[in-house]
Amino acid sequence: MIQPIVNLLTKPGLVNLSQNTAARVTVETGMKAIGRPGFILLDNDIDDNTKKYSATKEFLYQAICLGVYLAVIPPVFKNGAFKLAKKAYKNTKGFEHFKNAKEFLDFHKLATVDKTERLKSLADGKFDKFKDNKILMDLIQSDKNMKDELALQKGVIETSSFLGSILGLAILAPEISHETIHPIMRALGMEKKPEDHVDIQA
Amino acid sequence: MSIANGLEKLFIYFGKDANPALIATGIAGAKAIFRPTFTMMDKDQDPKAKRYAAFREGLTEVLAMGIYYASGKLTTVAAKALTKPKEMAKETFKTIIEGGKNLPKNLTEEAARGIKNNFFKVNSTLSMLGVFASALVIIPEACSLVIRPLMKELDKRDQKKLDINTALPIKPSTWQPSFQDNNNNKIFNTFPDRFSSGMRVGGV
Repeated sequence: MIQPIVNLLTKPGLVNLSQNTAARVTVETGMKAIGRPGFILLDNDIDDNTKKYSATKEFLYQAICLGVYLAVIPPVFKNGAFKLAKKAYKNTKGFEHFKNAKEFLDFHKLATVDKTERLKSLADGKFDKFKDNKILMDLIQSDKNMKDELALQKGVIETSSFLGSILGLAILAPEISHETIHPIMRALGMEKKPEDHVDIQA
Repeated sequence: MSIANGLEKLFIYFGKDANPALIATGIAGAKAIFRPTFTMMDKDQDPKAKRYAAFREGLTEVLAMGIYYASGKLTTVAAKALTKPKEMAKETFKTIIEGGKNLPKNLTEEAARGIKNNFFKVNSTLSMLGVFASALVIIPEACSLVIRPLMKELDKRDQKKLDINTALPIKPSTWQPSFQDNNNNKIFNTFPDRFSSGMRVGGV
């Protein structure tokens, strides 16, 4: 009973997603953009107009979060931090083996599995991109713990994605939403212009 | 320890385990600081409305922080239950997943590494699923249960306060929490001039 659950939870795709901050926050925000408006639409305690209005607003907010996140995190933080770290460490501590963050993450994904799986990938030619690099080739054939060996480079990417998430989701997205949501809602005919608004308390 | 050494230790920590619940807790913590701060910095708004919105935003994010943190703790318990070999003593399993050196003689290093890896993978995936469930369902529900009644209660108390000079109830500000939009739809927006998401999580 337990083993099938464990097998499912240890699938490499799921584990890699859970350890990739930028990809995980992207999926989470995408789920919120679909799920939260969905839950509002399923709520039977509010009238149809209110449901449509709230669901559209929530969708727009989450979509803006997703857009801001995708625009800021991968290009600026993930790649930028890796480049910066290459310079800061003067191309030492393993940074010298990789051109950019993407190349490193491709290697990390293939390398941080059990040795038998890693050697199978090597035989299948999945490491061909790195075959001219003797140090990396020796590393993947060794008994060393790959997660520990590649922790510094991976950590630079994850820490920068974390800081970028804070900037994107706690600062930029709310400010951009504040400026854009109401004009979009008006363009969709779901809100009146402020000057047309009749003060109901007056 | 220099700043560079400290940073390197932080990189290595996140490089070994970018734990989803921990990172979600950190992001919620940053939101709990930044969002009320930005709201209070808005010079165009009624001070009472600002305080009300900032307090609610801060409270929402603190609640989210607690839920993300608790989800991480819960999923770790579940991961331990799922990955502990039946015949293994609790203490031995604890030593293995914490990377301790005093392992029983009948356990090879490779076997111990396998058990630790298995726990790490299950814990990481469960932690991510816990964050997704919290963000999608638990936090919005908790906000509905906790924040709205609390804000109503605070609003009532505010109206009962007496003026220090006249001992009469303080004249209420013209600003009131708005529950209707321009089209007279009921909304749960307590800060009408700023965007508020329908479920009051994530929106300003």
